[in-house]
Amino acid sequence: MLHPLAVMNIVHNKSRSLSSIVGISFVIMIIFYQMGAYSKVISASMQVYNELEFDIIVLSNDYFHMGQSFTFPRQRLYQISDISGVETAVPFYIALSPWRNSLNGIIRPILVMAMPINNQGSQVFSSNEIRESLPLIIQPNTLLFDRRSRKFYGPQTPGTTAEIAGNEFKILGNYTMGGAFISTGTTIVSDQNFQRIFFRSLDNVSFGLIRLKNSAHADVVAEKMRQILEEDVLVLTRTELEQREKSYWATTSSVGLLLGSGVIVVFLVGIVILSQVLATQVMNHITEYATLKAFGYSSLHLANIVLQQAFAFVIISYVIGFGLAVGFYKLTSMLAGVPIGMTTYRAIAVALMTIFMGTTASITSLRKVLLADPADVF
Amino acid sequence: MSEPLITIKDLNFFFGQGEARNQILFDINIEFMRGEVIIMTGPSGSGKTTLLTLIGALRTVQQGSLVVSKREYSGLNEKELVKARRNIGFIFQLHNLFDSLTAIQNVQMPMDLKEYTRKQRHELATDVLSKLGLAERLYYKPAALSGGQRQRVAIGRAIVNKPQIILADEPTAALDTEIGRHVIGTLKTTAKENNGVVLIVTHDSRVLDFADRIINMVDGRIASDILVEKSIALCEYLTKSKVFLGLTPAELTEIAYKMKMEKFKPDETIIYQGEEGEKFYIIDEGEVTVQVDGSPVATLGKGDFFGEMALVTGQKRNATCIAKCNSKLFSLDKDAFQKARAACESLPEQLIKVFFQRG
Repeated sequence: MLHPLAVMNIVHNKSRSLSSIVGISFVIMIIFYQMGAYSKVISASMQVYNELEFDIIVLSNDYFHMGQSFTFPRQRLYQISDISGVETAVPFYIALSPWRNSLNGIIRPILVMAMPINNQGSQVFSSNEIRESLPLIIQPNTLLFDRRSRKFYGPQTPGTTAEIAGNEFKILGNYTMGGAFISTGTTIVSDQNFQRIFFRSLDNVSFGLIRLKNSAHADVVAEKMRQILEEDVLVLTRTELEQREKSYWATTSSVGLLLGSGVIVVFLVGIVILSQVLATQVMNHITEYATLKAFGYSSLHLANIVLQQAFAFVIISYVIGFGLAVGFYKLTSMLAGVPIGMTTYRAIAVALMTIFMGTTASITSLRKVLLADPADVF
Repeated sequence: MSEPLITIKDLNFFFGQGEARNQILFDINIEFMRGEVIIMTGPSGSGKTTLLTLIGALRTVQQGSLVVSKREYSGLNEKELVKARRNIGFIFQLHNLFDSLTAIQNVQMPMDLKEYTRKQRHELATDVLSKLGLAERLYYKPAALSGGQRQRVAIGRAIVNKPQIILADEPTAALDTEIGRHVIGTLKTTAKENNGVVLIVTHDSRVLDFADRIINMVDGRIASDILVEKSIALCEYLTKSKVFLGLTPAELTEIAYKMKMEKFKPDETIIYQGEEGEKFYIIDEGEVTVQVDGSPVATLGKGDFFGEMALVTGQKRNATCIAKCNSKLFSLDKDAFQKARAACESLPEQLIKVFFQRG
């Protein structure tokens, strides 16, 4: 049961408590925000891959991440297409190209994706909307345009035109995907049109998307492929790719490191702020605590009151910080086009971090209380 | 016969260590009886608050013995000291109420340390505050109360657990005379009801008459320990005696403090005719027969005095005094008597008047 002194000390001095709660809430909100952005970076690393149908992927041995994927000879796909368990091996092309807004002429880079539009190639995307629209872009200088592309790319409406790498293209359809942190916009073209844009041989493939028969096991087939293929390619199962991508974005990329260390820094700053707030609260009531000691309150009794007060602050602040974070997630999703949402995992993680911060800060404050000399109240 | 609730023997206390060690209390020896209200006075730094904090188990006894309710405080560890404090009520000069709590919640704070039911907590706290005239202010926070009301809440908080010892530090400093006297009166009633001890550190002369004892501390020592009732009675006797006419109340109190109680059985001779004069006597209880050359010449009763003439003139006793029944007499020795005489310039003349009246 909550001790009345713990509760009333918070309620009594409203303005002081409010400023403390605002401070702690702000810290919690920043932690939420940093963690949200961090996890978005990591999860967004798979955003485009998640739209592609494959069990195993073949990549250039120089591959860093989707934005720096390099190419490998298409021959490698022919080498593995006969392996037992392989159903299809489709070449996939990806590259960044300048896009000119047809209205204002401003040029921005856009992620261009391509594949052969045939029976196998048409099955590359999991989105039915894309699959159904692919036949439209067999024609030269036509494309499908991503609705989640930023506004500065210009009109998205089918029938309008845009310029890619100096070539005029006509938008014939739309889809919903998002380029995450690779690009602020994406477009899908046929492999033939890709060749027109980049003057690149279709023998240089970005990814090889391998679909397996139902009975095949990805790890086994991938191992067979590794044995057959040269060392100029990487063969990864979908799970391995996901681990690699996330690891890269979390531990190698500057944005991941920035946001990841940001979480730690904010967490540490949070402990400092919380310690300051609680220490101030405790010092404001130090005579009261010394008086309680004079009455015969034990250290345990006092610790209980201080911790209750600290955690009342922390819980209220957490709720407010949570609410603020949800608001900021929505705002960021709206303004930046990067959807970030609250997850149960993050809510629990931040709650645990907050409890840890509260405990650490309380211990510091508690020391002051335990050192208070009851003889000084005379 | 009242028994001591607090017994202090050879108590010394020091602040600091090594070369910075500073003695605050010196050889304190004193007893506080059940039912007593003791007022402790003395200049700042005289050690009275330190003594209060030692009795309150707020400090550790370093040297000597401090026994409270038959429990020796010397050698208690921190945990035991904390426990000991739960049987003591504290009243602070600045009230030290919890600003965020209502009057009743403030009073309930020490109750957390005892085993009360929720209902008992409410009823007891309400009862205490009602008796202190705060029935209408139970749910007021300290900021909404006057200084007197706040101090009454502090008293309620100190007495709610019915402690045998109440320690108060300048409890009337911020109060007007009427409220200050009401506050001390309440504490006196509590001391009598609980058969406990109320020890008050104060410089407030407006409340001195409530004290059973007044202890004056100077430089860490007990400079005087006066039983007020006895002292007042003695002063009245001394004033009535006319021997000490012209002395100020303070000087009379000083003489009274130096007088000692002596008991005599029936027919026991107190002074003999022809012997050297050594003491001056005042009768507190009983009767004394005065004989000259073996013949009774007078009978003295309560408030009467004898033995002064030989002390003033330096001559032998001119009469024999015998206790007629069980009698209690206050005596003042020759040195103290002479000092008192020296303090009173008109004393010789007054004594002549006395002799004349007797003659």
